[in-house]
Amino acid sequence: MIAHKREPVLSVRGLSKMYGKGCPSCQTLTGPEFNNNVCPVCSSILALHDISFDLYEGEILGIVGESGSGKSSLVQCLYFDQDATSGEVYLAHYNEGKDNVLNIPASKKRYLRNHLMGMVYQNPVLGLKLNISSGGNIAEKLLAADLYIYEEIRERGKKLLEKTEIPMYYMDEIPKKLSGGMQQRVQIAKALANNPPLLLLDEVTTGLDVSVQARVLDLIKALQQELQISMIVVSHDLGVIRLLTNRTLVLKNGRLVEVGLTDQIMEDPQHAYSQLLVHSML
Amino acid sequence: MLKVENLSKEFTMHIRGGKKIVTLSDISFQVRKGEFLGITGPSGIGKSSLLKCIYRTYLPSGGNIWYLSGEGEMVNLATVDDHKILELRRSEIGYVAQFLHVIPRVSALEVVSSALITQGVEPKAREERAKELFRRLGIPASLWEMYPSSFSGGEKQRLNIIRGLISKPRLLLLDEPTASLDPVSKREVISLIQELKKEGTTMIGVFHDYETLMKLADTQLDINLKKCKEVCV
Amino acid sequence: MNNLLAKTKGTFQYNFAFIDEGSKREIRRKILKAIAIPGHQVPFASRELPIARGWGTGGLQITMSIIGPDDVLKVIDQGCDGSVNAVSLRNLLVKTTGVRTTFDSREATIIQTRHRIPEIPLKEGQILVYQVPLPEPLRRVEPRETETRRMHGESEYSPLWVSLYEDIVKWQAVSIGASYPCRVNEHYIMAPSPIPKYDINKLNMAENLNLFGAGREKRIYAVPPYTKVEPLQFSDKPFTIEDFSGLSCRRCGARNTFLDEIYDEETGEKYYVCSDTGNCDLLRQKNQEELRDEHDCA
Repeated sequence: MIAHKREPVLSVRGLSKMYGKGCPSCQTLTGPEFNNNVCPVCSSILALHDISFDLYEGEILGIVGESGSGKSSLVQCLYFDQDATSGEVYLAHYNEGKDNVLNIPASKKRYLRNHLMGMVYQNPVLGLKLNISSGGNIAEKLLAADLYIYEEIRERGKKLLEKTEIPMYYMDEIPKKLSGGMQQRVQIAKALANNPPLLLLDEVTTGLDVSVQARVLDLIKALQQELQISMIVVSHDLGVIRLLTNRTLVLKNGRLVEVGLTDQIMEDPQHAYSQLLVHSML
Repeated sequence: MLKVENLSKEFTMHIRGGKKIVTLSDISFQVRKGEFLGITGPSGIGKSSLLKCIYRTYLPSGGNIWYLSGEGEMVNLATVDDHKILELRRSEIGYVAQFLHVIPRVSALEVVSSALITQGVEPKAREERAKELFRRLGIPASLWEMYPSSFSGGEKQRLNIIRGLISKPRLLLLDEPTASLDPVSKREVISLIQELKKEGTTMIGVFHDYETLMKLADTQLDINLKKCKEVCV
Repeated sequence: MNNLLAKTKGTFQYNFAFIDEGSKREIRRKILKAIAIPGHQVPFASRELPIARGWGTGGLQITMSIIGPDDVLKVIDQGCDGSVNAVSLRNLLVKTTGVRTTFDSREATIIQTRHRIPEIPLKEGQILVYQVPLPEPLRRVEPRETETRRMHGESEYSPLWVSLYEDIVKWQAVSIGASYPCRVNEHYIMAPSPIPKYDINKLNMAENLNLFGAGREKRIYAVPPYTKVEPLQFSDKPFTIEDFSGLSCRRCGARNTFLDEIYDEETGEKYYVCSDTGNCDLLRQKNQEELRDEHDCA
């Protein structure tokens, strides 16, 4: 293997997430071959099993798979919304990538969430506080990163909303009053508030109507080009994956069945499931 | 600069009961730096597949594709990891597909100039360079800010070529670049490619018409059912 | 123990300071823990008292647990020694301990207070015991106790800061009047019981020990002597205290004290008096002495 000069921004090794106690047959009786991620012996759910991948700087990684394949669990484990059962995750921007961030104390995890990562959820309720103004939502992220200058918070908030194409008069409105597409924009602005090197997008356009979806996707693409931020894009929509990503992971029943360049996955999928997925595209 | 050894590609159609389709088998050839290799052969023989294997849109089933990178690194494009491929695509390997995969809602100017972003070219310079090429290939200024999805086939094709050429890659893969072009644009495209070649770009092109091939290629590779011959033009 | 019991006049059937010694010891342990971790809310087993929860039982339990026969006690309610609650609590403590009481904050060793810090700065050796209704500063942004505990643990105070931000957006100023959240010893954020903003700065590097007791919420916390206490503020929107400029106390004429606004029952006229009655009396006395001196001279 040829040595690379660039180090990955994010390295994931053997990440697993299990709901339930688990038993010796969990790993052997679940997976794509059985089309199942629930252990038939102990009824534990293997949401994710032994996932490993690297994300390089400026790269956009897509994660595709059907409902229940573990896509969202994966990003939620990375964002510490859920505790991974086992595995290792290294972030180049945290202690030079020496520490497995799954094992660091909760306060450090909070630091990571606020300084090194941004997350945009499918459901704005998870990413935003709907009873706090859009500006306040962004302020929260800035305040969490110890910025205590009111005027600067306002200024940065304005710039972020401008960048995400939200009219200024919405800044002091609560997101409850905004449309779904607008809420996603506010979420994106919030996620980007501290210029994180890594942005996680979990089905951000699912549930939006097509024209709104297109504008949100354009925004993400433009921001990526401008900021050269590394991203993980979770979507069941291959169109979204094809539009945004360089590389793609295909998940099925909590297992990683294929990983490759996005155009390779689209044109020459290797695994039976990836082929089915690609050929199911409308 | 590029050495292909015993390259083969077969598709296993899992959803068709594991049916196998062999597209390429045991292809070997090499391309020297600054050379233009023309690939010929009947339709469906796998000419495009060969280019796609080199670009890694297809994952080769066997063989090696040795590429000497700009940094003097010997890379096997058939097996090296995706990150390296992405890096090479960004900086030195270009690909002009047969059809333009239109990116929705991005203007022609952006489609073309965005190819230069990763090379760190200033926005102003990016636009200038794109406009220059638009003018040469006769794409009217009225179309520059339009979305390519509304373009005619020929216009799309020219846009596609501009997009591939603008970043002046070290290795350029051309899949039928002049098909469906009118004679005037065809001439312009050919002279553009010739210019790029003078600047030292190594190229591999798939051609249907012999005339263009003769004008551009230094070496010809004829893929036929089972053999491949390398012929000097 | 016996001589303690002997000192309690009349109500000798109760233990000294009402609460049994085992319970007092438990509360004192919690107080020690609270002092060791400034601003951290320590849960304790709040005892039943002959007054209802919410009427100062937290402060009362602390006072009962630390008081000894030689202490000098002062009890105030909103700065006033004479209000019904202050009087009742004082009576209970005196009946069960027999300690000496005072209205002069300089003399007292233990001051139990509701909503005020005395005007005259307290000294080393004095203990100020606060009655706290709502000990959790994060409650206004997070209703769940499990969450607020986690937030304290992880120092996740941004939601509280956001509420200040939102206040400034809406009202151009932070709208919290009393119990203004403070950062103690650069770590925990604390609700300084509902003392006015005017009193917040007195907590910072105070020489006395401050003990906070919330009986209903079952929490004890503390600000030990010489501890940094900073109100939350944006660096460009500084914390401001109540403004009494141009006003003075009708009783003592003081122009630099915390004033209560009062309406004359008969005339409906608005006037101001010192909230700290002990201090007000001292000032009045001083004024009269000065007057007398002048008179004598003349």
